[in-house]
Amino acid sequence: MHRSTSSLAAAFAAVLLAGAPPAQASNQEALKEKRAEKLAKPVFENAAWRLDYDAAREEAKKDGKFVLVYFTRSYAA
Amino acid sequence: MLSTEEFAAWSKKVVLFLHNTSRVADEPYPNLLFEKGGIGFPTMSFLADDGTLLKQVGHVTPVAQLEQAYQDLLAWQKLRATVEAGEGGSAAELELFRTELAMGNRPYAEMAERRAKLPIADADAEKVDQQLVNLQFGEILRDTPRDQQHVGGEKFVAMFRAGRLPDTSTETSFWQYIFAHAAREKDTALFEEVLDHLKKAKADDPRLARYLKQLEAQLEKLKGG
Repeated sequence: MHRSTSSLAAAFAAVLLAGAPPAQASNQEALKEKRAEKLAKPVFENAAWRLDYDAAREEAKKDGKFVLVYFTRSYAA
Repeated sequence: MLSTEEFAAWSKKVVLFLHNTSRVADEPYPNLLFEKGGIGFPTMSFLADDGTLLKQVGHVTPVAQLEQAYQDLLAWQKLRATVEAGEGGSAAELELFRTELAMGNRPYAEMAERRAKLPIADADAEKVDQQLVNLQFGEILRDTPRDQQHVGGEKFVAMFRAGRLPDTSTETSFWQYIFAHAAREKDTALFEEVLDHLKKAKADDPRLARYLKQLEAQLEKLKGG
């Protein structure tokens, strides 16, 4: 499989990002605000996004559907 | 794309779940992206109703591509049902094996066992075996806690010794975790051996020069005790 050097370099950066330490307790209020801002973004208003993982899987099981998950972040927004 | 009427209409075929990594302490499933094989934001993935990763579709993906992935999953479901019903014979079994190997949604041990029993053509063997390496790598990666990279690294050393090297988009974690293991064990010989291998293998990637320099500096520090 061939990949560009930029994607490989980005992957190295992502690995380092994934290993970043958790936020300090003193940042918690700011992180909660950022989370609220992210979840209130207009981009998520038009479709029926579920925010509860367990409930989403239960609904998928009941309705015989797949779950489509969109992974995003708010801590660095 | 996510705010369009086209996406909203299409999305009724699935259950949409928005996972936000917030780093707020009380967040349930804080590492779900990582556990589902993702390494960056944003990522879109199809999951089964038990949470099994079925297909990662990339970043923000056009509806047409989502629909194609969805149709592929329906075809896979149908094929699996056929094989489980004992229909389709060995051809269906082989097709299901190749499909699931590409999807990476079955355990490595199961797929290795199935591979041993199926008549894989010589022309396909190399590709199939590389896919199995990638599957084993991905499984170890997902099972390794983020703050214990050295644990996964020890397992990756065994793969490295056996010449089983992944070539997926998350391949970099393979090396990162091995270096974490070597550093923790203060195994400078291993660190140096793997670094030399990586420098040769990635010699045509100039943008990695800085990262490799960092590893060289880390090695010198380790040698200095």
